[in-house]
Amino acid sequence: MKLSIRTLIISILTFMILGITLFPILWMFSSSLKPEGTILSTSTIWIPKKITLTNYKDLFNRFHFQKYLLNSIIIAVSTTIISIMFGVVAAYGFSRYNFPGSSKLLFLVILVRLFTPAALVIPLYGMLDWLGLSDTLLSIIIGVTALNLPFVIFMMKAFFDDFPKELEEAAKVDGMSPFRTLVTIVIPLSMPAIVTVALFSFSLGWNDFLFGLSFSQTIKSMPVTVAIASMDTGFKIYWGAMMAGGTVLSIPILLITLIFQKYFVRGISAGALKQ
Amino acid sequence: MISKIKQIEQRTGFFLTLPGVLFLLSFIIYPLLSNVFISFYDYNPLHLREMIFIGFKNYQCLFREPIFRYSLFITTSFTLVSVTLELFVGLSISIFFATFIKEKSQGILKWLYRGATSILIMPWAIPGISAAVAWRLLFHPLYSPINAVLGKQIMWLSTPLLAFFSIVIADVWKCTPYFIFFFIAGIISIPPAQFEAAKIDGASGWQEIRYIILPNLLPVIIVASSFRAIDSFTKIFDMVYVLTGGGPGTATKVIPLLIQETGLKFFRFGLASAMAVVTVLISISFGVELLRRRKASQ
Repeated sequence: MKLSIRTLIISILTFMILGITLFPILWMFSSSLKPEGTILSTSTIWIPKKITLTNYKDLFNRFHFQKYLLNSIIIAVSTTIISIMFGVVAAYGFSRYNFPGSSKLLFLVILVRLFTPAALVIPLYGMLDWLGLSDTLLSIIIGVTALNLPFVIFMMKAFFDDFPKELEEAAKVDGMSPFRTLVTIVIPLSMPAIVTVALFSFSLGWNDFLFGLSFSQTIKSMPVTVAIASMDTGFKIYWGAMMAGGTVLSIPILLITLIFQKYFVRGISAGALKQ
Repeated sequence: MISKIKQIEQRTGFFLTLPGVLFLLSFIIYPLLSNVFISFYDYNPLHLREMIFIGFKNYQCLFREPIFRYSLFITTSFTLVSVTLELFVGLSISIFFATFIKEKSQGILKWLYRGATSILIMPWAIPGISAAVAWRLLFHPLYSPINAVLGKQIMWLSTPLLAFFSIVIADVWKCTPYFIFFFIAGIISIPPAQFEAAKIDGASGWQEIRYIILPNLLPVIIVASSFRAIDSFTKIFDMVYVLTGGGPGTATKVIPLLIQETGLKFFRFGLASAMAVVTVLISISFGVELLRRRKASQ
């Protein structure tokens, strides 16, 4: 193989860009394998001489990470399921039927993107408290889903608008109800779009910090993100556990992203390009 | 007969959208409207007292106390600085990678390109809190590896200006991939015939960028930066919370953090709601203006 100078320069530049990209993540990971005392050191050590899993063990033995992880999983999975259930059906309705107010409702859906989520937190807090949901996983799920649902409707509607209508018309002639057409014909053929939307919903639920921080008070409903942030107590920062926690938190998302990269990239650009 | 079918269709559509719309009405529209209501009251849920109607006093308070104005200013500056940087860095990297794509590269470069896209997406994908704690360690006042590389002792998070730029740096790292993937998608969709024509005319690489890539990419650049600007203004939270907590003092107290703290740390619900109302109005008018311009340009 011929290795031209041009190829060499491009390769070096690429490695520099990738190096900067990976640097914080790798540094976090490398630090999580160091004993607590050596994380903060004036010499830059990439591969610790003594690799230790103490920080990870601490997460589970001292910081009850198993409970926080379970909370985060429940939040992410429920957000995904509820968003998909409500969002796909609503998007189909918006895409196929013209009823009074449907155009205005969609405008509303777009506008929701413009709110700062923090504006939602205060009234929602009072409302969920009144419903007896304070310090529950459900309160966080409701918050995240409320923020996510407009996005799901928006994306799925764009997809359904391009979906060929002939199949549905055939089903209609055969006397199939709209709901059955949706479930047995449209949804199975929409799987790529639904996977994209599901991935985004899951990561929104998994990554959520704002609602978790605002609504949960005890370990009962606290997600991993809030638990990690609280390792900085104001007096002492548990660096080892914090870096291990940050690593554990990012692993599922990194795996999902790498496996479903195609869908993920599509989701980034499709949301804005298709309007 | 036709009108009856139409009526049934309308009803079907209505029922399909009903669950989703009800959810949005009760957990987005209603809370946002009740913000307006709460903002006219003095309301502290911890004091177990009734809500006291105080008219516009919360709003007066907002514009009398400098913190809210300052917070608007710092959030806007943050949005402008970080989105501009992300745009330029993202554009440069995408054009750089476009050289791979354009040539339908073989061998090493092809693998490099594939690996690069998988790695470049990582900062954008990882949870905000993971990124934030990673940067928290990188900005450590005494043991920052960045300082070791630079050979200088920079106290990253300790002065207002440095704290601001630390958050910008971390945000640029995290959000530039968003632009990169937009732009690479945009560059791929440029008809290859344009590049071939340019080659025949003997255009230089710089001319290709100037007269083919940039003009073709302009709509994508506008869309991506406005979306990113809105997201940056309304959703910056995790990074600031972990890196500076809004400090030093209130130097980096961005709007979302200010609202959240006023409401749920100091439990001044009325004041927090007034802040939320003003902020939502600002971002909506920005967004509506944007939508109108896009419609006008189409």
